[in-house]
Amino acid sequence: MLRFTMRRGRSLLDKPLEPIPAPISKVARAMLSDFDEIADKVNDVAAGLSHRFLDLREAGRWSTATLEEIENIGEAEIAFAQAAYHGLTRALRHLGAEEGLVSEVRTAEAYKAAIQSGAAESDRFTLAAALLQEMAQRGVIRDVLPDPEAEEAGLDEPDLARIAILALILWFLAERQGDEGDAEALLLTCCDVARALKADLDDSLEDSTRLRDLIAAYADKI
Amino acid sequence: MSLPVPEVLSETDRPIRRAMRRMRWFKQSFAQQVDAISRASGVDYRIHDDRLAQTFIAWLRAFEAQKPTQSTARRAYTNFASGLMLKQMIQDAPLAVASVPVGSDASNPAYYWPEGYAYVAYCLNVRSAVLAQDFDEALALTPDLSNIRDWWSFKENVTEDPSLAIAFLDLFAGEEPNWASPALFYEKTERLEAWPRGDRSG
Repeated sequence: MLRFTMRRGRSLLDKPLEPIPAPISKVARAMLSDFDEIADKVNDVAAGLSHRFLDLREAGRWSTATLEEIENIGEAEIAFAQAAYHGLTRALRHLGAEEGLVSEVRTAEAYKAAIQSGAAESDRFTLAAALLQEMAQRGVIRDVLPDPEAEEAGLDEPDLARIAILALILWFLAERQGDEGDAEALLLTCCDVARALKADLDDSLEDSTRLRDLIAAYADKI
Repeated sequence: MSLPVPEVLSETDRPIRRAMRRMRWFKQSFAQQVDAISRASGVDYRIHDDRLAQTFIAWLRAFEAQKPTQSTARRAYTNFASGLMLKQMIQDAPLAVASVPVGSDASNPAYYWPEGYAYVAYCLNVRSAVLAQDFDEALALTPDLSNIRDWWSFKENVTEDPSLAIAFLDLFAGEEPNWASPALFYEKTERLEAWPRGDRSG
């Protein structure tokens, strides 16, 4: 009920946003994002996961893990959500998002769905493609506000979300050579490569085989 | 004319022709090249990482598209691939000049066209490192690399047709340029060149 009330509050606040002058609108948008975050945390409680997400001592534990490492963890969807949250927020910032919301709940659900689809039984690229599709379909990233540079480059909200997810997937698959700092730098490199692959991503997003081949072709080129 | 060399190219323990096909190595080596030129010339550059990634992906595709089947064509393809890289860099412009030292000599290629100079230096250095590693060859740069007239012609021509960059890089490297169709790799020509001179008529 609390969750519904918060969502409802957001939809009510959504309406008068457009006529508000830009600076005020921006503040309102930030407030709405906070609402969504709280609503997601409530959702996390319902899913029995929030104590982990809200536990600062555990936050970031899996933040630079690879997909292979995550697969071998007991509650893999939680580790995946943590790592994805960490990666997506940084990727979005690098790609030119002034603000946005990443849902750990939807990310964990996307992971579970991809695993349940049986994609993991083929190969890691098939699983990666399934994860990308599930994350995109479930809207793990939302309320993205592109910065002026991204807008000038023709990148809108869905573009930034899709590119950030591809960057995250490439990062999960890329060979790690150094420490945590190198892993962060590698993520930014993955963002640049993912952005260069935007047209290919747009063409293959709905086709799991083509998407798998795209990921397979470039994962080891990072 | 000596070109500043990126540090990673002096590492001989890993095959550069393979490392080149990984974005992180490409990014690191290019940044080192730009830094080395900047220290030598005083030109301040800015690298656009997104454009550099675009260059890398486009080059990788072009590289794979014409990769020869014959191992005898590998040396010639090394030259061609470095030209493809130069062409792509000129097209995507991953480098911008932030500032040039006051009073710099515009008849020096490093100041006449600082971005083009950095691209040429990088492509020649990578080419040289691969030839040294894989074919035990030292690249002899032609004196024309410092000839400003060649750079005038280079800049003017590649602005109109970037594929001519492939032929110009051959010229700078002291090889015979293919001006007619620079963007096409002829595997057959390489095999002919590999034969002793007397056999060509037969």
